[in-house]
Amino acid sequence: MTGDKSPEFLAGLAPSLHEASRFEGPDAFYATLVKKLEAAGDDGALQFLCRLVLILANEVGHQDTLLAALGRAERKPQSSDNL
Amino acid sequence: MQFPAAPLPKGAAAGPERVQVVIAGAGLVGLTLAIDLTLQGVPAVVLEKRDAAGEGSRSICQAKRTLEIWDRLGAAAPMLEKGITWKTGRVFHRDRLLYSFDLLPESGHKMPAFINLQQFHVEAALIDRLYALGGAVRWCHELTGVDPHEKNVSIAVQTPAGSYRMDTDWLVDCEGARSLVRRALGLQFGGEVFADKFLICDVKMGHADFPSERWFWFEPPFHTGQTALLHRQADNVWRIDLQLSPEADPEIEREPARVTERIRRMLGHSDFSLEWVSVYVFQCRTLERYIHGRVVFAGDAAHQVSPFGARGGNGGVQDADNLAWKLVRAVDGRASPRLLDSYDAERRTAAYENILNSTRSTDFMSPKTKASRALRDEVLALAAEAPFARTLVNPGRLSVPAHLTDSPLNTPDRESWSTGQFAPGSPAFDAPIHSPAGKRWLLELLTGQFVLVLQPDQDEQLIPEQIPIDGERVTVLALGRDLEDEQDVLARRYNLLPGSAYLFRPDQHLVARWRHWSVRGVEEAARKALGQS
Repeated sequence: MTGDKSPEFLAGLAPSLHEASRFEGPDAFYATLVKKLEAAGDDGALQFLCRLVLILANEVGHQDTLLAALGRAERKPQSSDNL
Repeated sequence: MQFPAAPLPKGAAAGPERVQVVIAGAGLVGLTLAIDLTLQGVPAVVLEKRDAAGEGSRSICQAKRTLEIWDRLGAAAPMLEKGITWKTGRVFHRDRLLYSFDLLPESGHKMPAFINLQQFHVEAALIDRLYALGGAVRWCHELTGVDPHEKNVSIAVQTPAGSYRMDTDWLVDCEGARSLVRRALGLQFGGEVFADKFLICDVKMGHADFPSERWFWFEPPFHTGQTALLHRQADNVWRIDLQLSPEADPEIEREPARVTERIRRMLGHSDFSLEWVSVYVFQCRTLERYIHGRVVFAGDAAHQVSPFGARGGNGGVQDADNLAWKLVRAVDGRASPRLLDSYDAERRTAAYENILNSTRSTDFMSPKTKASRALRDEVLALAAEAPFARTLVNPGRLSVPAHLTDSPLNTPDRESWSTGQFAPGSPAFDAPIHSPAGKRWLLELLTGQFVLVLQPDQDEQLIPEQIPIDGERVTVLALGRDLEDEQDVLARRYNLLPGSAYLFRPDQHLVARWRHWSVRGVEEAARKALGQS
């Protein structure tokens, strides 16, 4: 069915996401993002992030990559007790 | 349309009446099934506790595939004449048009994308057709007891003139959401019941400036923060759906003065009268199995969806279409058990697809958390300026026929075809053709039996008119001999090169196709489609 998880995805063969950075200017991007979130205020920030996700998701387009990204975002950060 | 109570069957006092098939419920689904069975030589007893076709307009959007099924049964013409034909929808956010869509952008199909026609008008046409074929409905005969056995079902029936019993080989439950049979068998629906309530009403307008289109609003100025739907039906009656809050009290919301004020705010005038009002909650639920021994469930008795998308009635009619040819072969002993089992597999898959679509629409209309509402609102805001976001707007994905591509009855493709989503399991595309009887449509020639449509090779000399298979026959339709494709639509839609052939089953779904067909290949595919291999 269009828009649903592909058989490869269900079989655990989801595309692996990039672990290495692909940002051309990570510090500049992060600083700009923070500025825009702070300028938007708490409620405005939620709207801003929703809109940003939609725009970026359309740029990615590929269904399995999007689903893998949703799964990655859902994952809790690993414990840092050993640091 | 009211009917007198049917009399008690002859000999009712002497013992149980013995019949092959009983259909419980004379709604859209039960009547469709009864007509199909009658046409195939297996008249069924139809029990209906009411004395008339249904109250209120209920299911109004009759989809193309449903119309094709009713046309195969000879019942569609009066519906097309009476109904409102439409194919355009418009979606608004507040007072701004977000986008419009066309459900059937190409020509060359006998049936339109949709007609809007009140369910009682549809049922009247089906009743007329059933009676014209010599069938009948036992009005005011209420099924009151069910006792399933291994090879038959005993049932009890109550009528105004007294009660009687029947023994039937098969009982098909088409009694809808409040099915007694389902409760008697202790079967439960699985799925979701949504908290949101919707006010649904039909209004007759003195004057209306709206075209025959489906108009849907998110957060309209006349109904703050909610959704609204406006849709024209026959007799200048308009369907209006207004979303209510989960806390809304159905009794209060049904009060005529309150409803009238809501409609006045929407239409901007008071030149209308209320025809029918109801408040409902969305339910997206299904049984785990549709066949329990000799009891078969169809339509809302088997599954329920929200009305946005018109997938309830249309899905139920496809149930009947799928079941009839299999049940006929089960009754006369031609079918292997696997054939009837395929009804369960195919229609549950279709129901899951309908439920999935219906649930997604409901979730889009009724976000449950602050974050999901923010996301939905941003989709709507973005859709006004960015075409990509319009694909995410979900005001109900309208009914499309099920593509039974995972069916065990299909013979998978061995060659490549450039026909997009169309594959074994898909319902046939229509196309204008010319036959010895004059201008026709392809679907008019796919009538309740296996049919092979082929494009002969230039050197192909002897093409049989029929291919017999174990008490069945496959009717062969060869281009150039039995039909002409004067507009080249058939060849284009089916990528029908010389030597190619398509095998359709009695409900017009494709089961196999070949680039170079052979009688043996057709025989093997037909046997598989009959559940024999």
